[in-house]
Amino acid sequence: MNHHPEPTLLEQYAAGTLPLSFAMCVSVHLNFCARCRIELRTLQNLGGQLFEELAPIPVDASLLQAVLNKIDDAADAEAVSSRETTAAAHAVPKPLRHLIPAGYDALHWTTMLPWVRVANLAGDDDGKHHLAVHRIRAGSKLPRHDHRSQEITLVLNGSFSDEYGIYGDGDFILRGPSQVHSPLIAQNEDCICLSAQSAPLRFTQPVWRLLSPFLT
Amino acid sequence: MALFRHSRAACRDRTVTTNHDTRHTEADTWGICLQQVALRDRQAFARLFAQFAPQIKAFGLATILPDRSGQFADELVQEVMFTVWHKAAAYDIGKASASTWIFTIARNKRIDLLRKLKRHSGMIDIDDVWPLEDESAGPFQILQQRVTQQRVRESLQTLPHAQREVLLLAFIEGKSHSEIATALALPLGTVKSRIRLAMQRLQLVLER
Repeated sequence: MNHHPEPTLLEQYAAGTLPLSFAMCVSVHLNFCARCRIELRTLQNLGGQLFEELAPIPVDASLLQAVLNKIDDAADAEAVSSRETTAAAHAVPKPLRHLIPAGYDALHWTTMLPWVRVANLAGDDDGKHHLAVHRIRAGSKLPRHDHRSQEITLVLNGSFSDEYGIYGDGDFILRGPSQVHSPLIAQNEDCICLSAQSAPLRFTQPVWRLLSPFLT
Repeated sequence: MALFRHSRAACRDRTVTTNHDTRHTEADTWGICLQQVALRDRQAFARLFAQFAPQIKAFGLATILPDRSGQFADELVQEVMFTVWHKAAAYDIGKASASTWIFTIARNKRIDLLRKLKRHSGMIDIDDVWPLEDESAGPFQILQQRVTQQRVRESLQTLPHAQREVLLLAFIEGKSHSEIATALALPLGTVKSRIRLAMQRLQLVLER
């Protein structure tokens, strides 16, 4: 793995200030990357110390009792609601197990191009971004395109390359609006990527640009 | 073993001193208290509550709320402490101090409560996005965690005010970079570079 979220992105994740869809991509990357997990732990440590240094505000004595009552109520229903899914068996990273409960094949795929399929996972609370999975056939090439705003791509399975580098499992790629690229998928297997985007891909070559309104 | 007994006693009596030499022990003390909570010890829970509920309340009051919602901080205290009780078994003293662990729960619950206030019923689960870690720490990680904690604690004291301010706005008030820029009437780039400088100063980022 060679591509990681930049430090200020991890800082925003640790502080809990990233849009949910971006934070989800970071979470999936952390699932792959021990090094970023160490960095995150350090950042959370910073958060913990700032938290510890806050001037305490007295709490009403009834609050402890309220929590204890809640604990008693919950004890009856202790049989923890186990939301067991089969995602693990399908090699889906843990943070995505509720969004992709039965593996990639079972997603509702839409064909964008004969060799590109997309499945929408969820909209972000901010109403601007959404999470999607793209599945691109082994050995194929995506038309040259740019992105309309900041967008994250995270490789879940397989690999691809473009003008900027080579990407494999767990690699985290943040693209800005001006970065045009034409990804090439590795020959050996389909490439499956998670993306947090604010608008559909826009192809920059004339033919694809004409078609792109119909492709999503 | 001697250390364990000592800390356990401190947790029991709440005779925790805060002078410089014992701070390290104090951090461990609350971690051990959390381990007792994991064993369903309600007295340990009451002590933990007395120590951390006022911190959580302060954290809740620092939140910028969408509109009038006076009960937010108290609700946050309850949600966080309830989760502390339920998840205490997942706490790993080798990975994080009690403050750090409770901070991460408070961060998650704040996002959750704000989401409810704003009536979002999104499909993305907060606990999937910010999971509490469940792999256990090895001896090396335990050592590293302590060294890091000490380093962050010390360098935080010498951080220039401007850098400390942006960290507080981010971690405690939960403001995004652009919200911080608005609050301080600074360009976004200045906010980002202050945060980057603070992180370098605290050696929070590994060499790349």
